[in-house]
Amino acid sequence: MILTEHLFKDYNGKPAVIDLNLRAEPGEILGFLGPNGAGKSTTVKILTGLIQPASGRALVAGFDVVSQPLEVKKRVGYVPETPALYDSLTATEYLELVSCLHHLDPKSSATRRSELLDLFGLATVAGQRLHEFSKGMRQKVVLAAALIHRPDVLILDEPLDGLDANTAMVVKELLKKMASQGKTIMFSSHILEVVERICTRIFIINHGRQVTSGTSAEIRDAVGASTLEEAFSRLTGVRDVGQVTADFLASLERV
Amino acid sequence: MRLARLFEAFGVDYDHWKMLTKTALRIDLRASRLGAAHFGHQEVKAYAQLIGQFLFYSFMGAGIAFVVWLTRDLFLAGTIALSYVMFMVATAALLDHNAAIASPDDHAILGFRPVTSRTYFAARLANVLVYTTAMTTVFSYLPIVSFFLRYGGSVGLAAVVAIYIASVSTALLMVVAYGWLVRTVGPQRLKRVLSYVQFLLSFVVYGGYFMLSRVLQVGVVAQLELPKSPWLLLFPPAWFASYLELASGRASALEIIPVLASLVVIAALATALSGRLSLEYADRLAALTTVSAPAAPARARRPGFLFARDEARAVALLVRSQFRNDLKFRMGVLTILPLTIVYLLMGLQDGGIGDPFVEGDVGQGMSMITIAVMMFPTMLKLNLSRSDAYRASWIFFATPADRVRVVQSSKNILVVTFLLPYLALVGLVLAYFSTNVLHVAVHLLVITLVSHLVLQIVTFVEPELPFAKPMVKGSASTRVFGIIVLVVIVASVLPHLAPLIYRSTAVTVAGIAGLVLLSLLIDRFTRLRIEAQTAGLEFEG
Repeated sequence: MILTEHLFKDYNGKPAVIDLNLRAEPGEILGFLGPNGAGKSTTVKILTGLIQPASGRALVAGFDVVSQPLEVKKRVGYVPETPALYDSLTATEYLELVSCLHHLDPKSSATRRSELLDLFGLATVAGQRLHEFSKGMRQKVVLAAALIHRPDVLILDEPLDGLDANTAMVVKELLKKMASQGKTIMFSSHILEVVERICTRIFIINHGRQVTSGTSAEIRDAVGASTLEEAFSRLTGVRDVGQVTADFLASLERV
Repeated sequence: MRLARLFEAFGVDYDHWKMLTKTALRIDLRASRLGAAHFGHQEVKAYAQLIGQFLFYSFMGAGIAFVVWLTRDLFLAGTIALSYVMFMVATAALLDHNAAIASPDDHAILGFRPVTSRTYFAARLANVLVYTTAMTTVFSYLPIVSFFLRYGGSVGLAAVVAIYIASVSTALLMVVAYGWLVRTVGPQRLKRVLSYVQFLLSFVVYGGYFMLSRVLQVGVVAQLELPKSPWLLLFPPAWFASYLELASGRASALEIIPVLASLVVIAALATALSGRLSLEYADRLAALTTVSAPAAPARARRPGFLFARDEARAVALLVRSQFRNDLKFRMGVLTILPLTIVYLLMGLQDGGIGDPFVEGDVGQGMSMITIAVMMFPTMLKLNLSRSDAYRASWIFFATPADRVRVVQSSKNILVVTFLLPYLALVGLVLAYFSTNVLHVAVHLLVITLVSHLVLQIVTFVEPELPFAKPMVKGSASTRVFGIIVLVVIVASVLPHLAPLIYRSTAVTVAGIAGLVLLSLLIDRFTRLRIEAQTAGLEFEG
């Protein structure tokens, strides 16, 4: 379970997240949406213990992220938006490093590593260093690292970024199955079609504040939009897309 | 516009060069948190660091100024001052700026832009020169004042010219050396060759420093004169020191030939830089970015029993792999070895290692060995914390890793992988020069404990996660100079205390027990310090 109550975070006085009350239950895939700079990554970083909130409360898997950060980290699998990796390590070594940091048993973690490398089609390149990997292959390594300790909660920031169509399908199916097993999944993405297809509920944030939450149908109905994309655009205050592009092209001609 | 035309004559686009140079400096400043106001109190910390560097270089310059003032022979004073300038610049180029020339880091950003190879090279060259010139200024202003006051205006002015030309020439020489490697060595082998060259250059630079320190004993300097001989043509600082001699009115062949030699070298460097070296530079870097590593899979390493699982295993994996594959980390470590080996050699050359159990028998040699043994772990630790891969350290923050264990495992892996083999070498040196095996064994144990204690203290002062902080240009060389000064002072005293500890078996055992106890205490305090820090720690990447 993921729960935030009146969560607030600022960077040197500039608020990034304001009074955020968010809830994701076990078995749920929560789509976490917002335009660039809305406060999504800040929220995700607080939930994963990378940064601390200025005020408010955040619970993950029943543990407080400030007072019990290690308990939270034991139970969370995290895919960051821009996952930096140690390029000098091989895929196997990186997964071993993550297993060790999660205090997994060396023997069983070796088996799990092999399974995950197989699942993501990395078995044949497992001994190559990560600096040789393409963007998609690196993303697969990060996904594997997020799953290696069988987390109860998955927090995924653009997890499908760079993945080929086949692997993306595998990941989407995997997330659905994990949710059906009672895992809590928070899925942040800008690809609204995917969010609409796999998420059981959607939470939209803008300027650090909650804008709305509900199922895709509920959100569409509430704003009278025919697609989630249209609803998102209206809720987050973007002007008419056709008008914006026409204005831009006209300004290019003038310069 | 004249400047633009001058640049054009060398095939460099002035506007591009100006913007690239400005951007590189801006990035460096922001990396050291000087340029960004939103970092708040960290900006103050960065200014404090800058002031610290200023004071440190001024302090070193004051020492040289004192020597200049004391010396009766202008040629000797000039040679000493210029040797130090060239040593400092060469060390800075080795430690802080090697990657500025040989690294393809920003080629992915600029490679597809319409920037000529020469412009690209000139921007990187300018970046190195800005730093080395600034460092030279801070280091040299006091010696220059000393030259003005002691020898008059014309010699003072000649000192200014000589110091800056020597500084620029040294920087250019290092740049040409790295640029030549990039051009000559194939991209497949470049990383490995760079490591070896770094190792050799370190020997040359620190060996030069070693030679200089032989000459530079203040009491002797006041009495000394440096006789001019054709052999001095082999010692570049003497060329630049001849500028001062010319300014003082001496104009024989012994002054003119060294000056001409310096001008020839500068012309040769300029020709090298404006030739194929810079013309093919961008292409060579491009080849470096596209080169793929050997197809053979990486060797699977069996975990040692100390590093079999959890944080210890994770850190061991990371440190070993970074050493094998991260060029900057490897170059950093390889640069330490020659410095400490030079001190070991100095110890041997001084001969007087002596028996540490006998009062009055401990020679200068033992001090040198102690310097090496204390300097090695300190500098290893400095290299471990900073890396270009610092953003990847998010994994330490997002997993339930115990930060105390991570930090202490980082220290332990340094001990096992680098420090113990190094101390074994020191043990062999001691054994070779001693007749009493038991004395050597006990002294080696004490040295090992002291060396470990030094590493623990450095870890306590800065308990950092491995490779979790960004590189900051200029900080490595300043730290190294600082460590040299500090360690030399401490290590000069320590060996003379040894006979007190070794005067009886009981005192020796008590001394060793004291060291172990101190080690345990520092370990405990380090744990408490990290736990206290962890509460408010956030990922900076």
